[in-house]
Amino acid sequence: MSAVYGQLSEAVLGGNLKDIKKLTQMALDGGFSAQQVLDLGLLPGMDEVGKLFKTGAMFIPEVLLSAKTMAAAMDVLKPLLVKGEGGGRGTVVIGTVQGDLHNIGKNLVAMMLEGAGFTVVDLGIDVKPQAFLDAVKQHKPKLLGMSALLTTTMPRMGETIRALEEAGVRSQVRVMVGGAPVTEGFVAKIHADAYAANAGTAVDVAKALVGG
Amino acid sequence: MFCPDLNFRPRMSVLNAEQMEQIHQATLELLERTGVQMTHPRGLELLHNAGARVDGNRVRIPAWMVEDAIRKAPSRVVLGNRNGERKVFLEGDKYWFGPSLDCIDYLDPLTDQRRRFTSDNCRVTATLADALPNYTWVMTIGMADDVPADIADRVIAKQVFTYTEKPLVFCCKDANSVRDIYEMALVIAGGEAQFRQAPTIVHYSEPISPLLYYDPAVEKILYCAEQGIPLINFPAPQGGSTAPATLAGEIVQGSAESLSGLVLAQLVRPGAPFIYGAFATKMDMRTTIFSYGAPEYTVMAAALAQMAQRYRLPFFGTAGCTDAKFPDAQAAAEVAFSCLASAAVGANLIHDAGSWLDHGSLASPAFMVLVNEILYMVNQLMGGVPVSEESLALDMMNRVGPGGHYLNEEHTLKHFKEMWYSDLFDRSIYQTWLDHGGKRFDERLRTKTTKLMKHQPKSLPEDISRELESMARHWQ
Repeated sequence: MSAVYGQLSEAVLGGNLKDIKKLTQMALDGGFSAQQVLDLGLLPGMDEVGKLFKTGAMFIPEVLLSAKTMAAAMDVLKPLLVKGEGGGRGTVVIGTVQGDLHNIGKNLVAMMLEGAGFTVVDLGIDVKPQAFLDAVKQHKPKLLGMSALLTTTMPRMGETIRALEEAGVRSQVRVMVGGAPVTEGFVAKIHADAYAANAGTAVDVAKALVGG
Repeated sequence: MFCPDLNFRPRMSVLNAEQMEQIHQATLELLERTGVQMTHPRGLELLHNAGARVDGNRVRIPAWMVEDAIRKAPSRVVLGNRNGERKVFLEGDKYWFGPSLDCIDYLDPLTDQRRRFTSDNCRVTATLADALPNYTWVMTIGMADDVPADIADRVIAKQVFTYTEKPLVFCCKDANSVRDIYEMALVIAGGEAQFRQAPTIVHYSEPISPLLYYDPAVEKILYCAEQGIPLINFPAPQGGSTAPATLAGEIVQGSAESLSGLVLAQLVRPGAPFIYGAFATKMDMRTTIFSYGAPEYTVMAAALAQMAQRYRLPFFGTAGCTDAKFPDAQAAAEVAFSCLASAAVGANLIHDAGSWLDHGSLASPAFMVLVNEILYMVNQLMGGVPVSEESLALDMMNRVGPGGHYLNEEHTLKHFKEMWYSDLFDRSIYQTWLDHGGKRFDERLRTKTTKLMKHQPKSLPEDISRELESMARHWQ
């Protein structure tokens, strides 16, 4: 039984994109539920990836290959997972704030979160507070992530949070922010919930915010 | 054989063709007009019989003899490791870094205590030189203070033979010591024929500046040429005291001193393997020290390397040493500067990397580790910019398009590791750095050095070890 889980974890860890769908299907055919395959096979593999990345033993392109492998397995599992669970750890809405066209940090966080088992709704760049609000209402995510690279666009983060408060949905979602100029102090000032310094820690912070 | 990808390599030069020609003519003029002083009877006889003008102890060497020797000497020397593999190719503008020799003190990497260098310290430095990949050959690094001075040169050579497989460049007191060390090398190689196929040792001998040969130096030149042991004839002129204070004058004198030994070696045996060069630096007139960190020595080393390439002679370069007392910011700056310049000029067999702190007096394992790390950066830069269809990556750029990203591309996965990653130089995010104890450079260097000192070099076969032991009992 554990051999199947181990095999799936290994496939995710090694970025075995070629075989992952077949392995996932074999596990399902062998009588394991989609939830078991996800929780005991795929996610432990991704957790290991996160750990290795943090110690410097894995590099970003390898982490992303693992994430891609994970996502391919999710294609097989999603139709079978209980509706509303969104598969895995829940939904994150993410975007770069209004006035800011910097994409790469936000993309990296999105891919890492996806790899860690979150369902990511990426709103892209130059996202207005109203657009974040609409997405929160529509997707009912557990997390909202905002990114800014410029000190001049950082204030849009606070404005977006105020928009959530005014619409009465702030309590439904945890807000995390990031980007080179963002600090812990800034998080408190704008009433966000958390900050992550890089894509690796963003995954830890996100997991902590949704409770594991 | 080692062949780099023949991309464009960064190249540095400090002399143009006209200047090189003038320096060459001036060198010939110095040897022909002023000459060198020598008292060794056989040396004098060889030079006299070949056409030099010998007047008492003064030997004036005509230009044709110098140019004849340059033509006869091999344009390349290949060194082998302990297993008989031909590894270090001294030819053209290839460069190979190695450490140095004769430090009198040792800097303990754990305590930062400075004390006399011992034969056990030599075990440590040889072990490290074996472990660190950017040192492709080794020297003896220090002078053992714990054994009788008369045999110390062979004790440390034996330590190096025992704790690393890399080729050894060594200095020693006289021809008798050269013979003992050569005999050890023969035992390890398995005989003369094997040794000739891939010489594992190079002897480094020094005329005294200005223009003076003491008898043991001449004897060593004669012995090495007879036996076919690659020889470096390497003066150490000091601008302002034992050489002119001007760069060009000092270069000419250093070159003449080295080439006079070449003439002698080629008279003994045409084709004797010879490595040209001089450690030309300045006297620091504030302290009287012979500077190992002055930018002037680097520019003179580069000029002499260019002369070597003009002569098609292998070159003995100098880089990677410092006047600093610790492997600190000054050490790193001086080393980075000299190593990059020497690689970019293509200075062949480049010595002193990571083993001379405090102007040639202090060996330090931590410094060896620091310099090895800097050499990774040098090698990375010297790799140049490979240009090919694959590396231009136009199809991918078109596919990804404006605003996209390359993180997920297979091309990225395939090539990202061409970037150099250090486990010593820190690039972590500030918070991560704090979380890991906020370790500053010295502390990380100490940790890495301590770890590397546990390296286990491959042992010599037991019968060879025993034979070296029994040879040691007869050293005088």
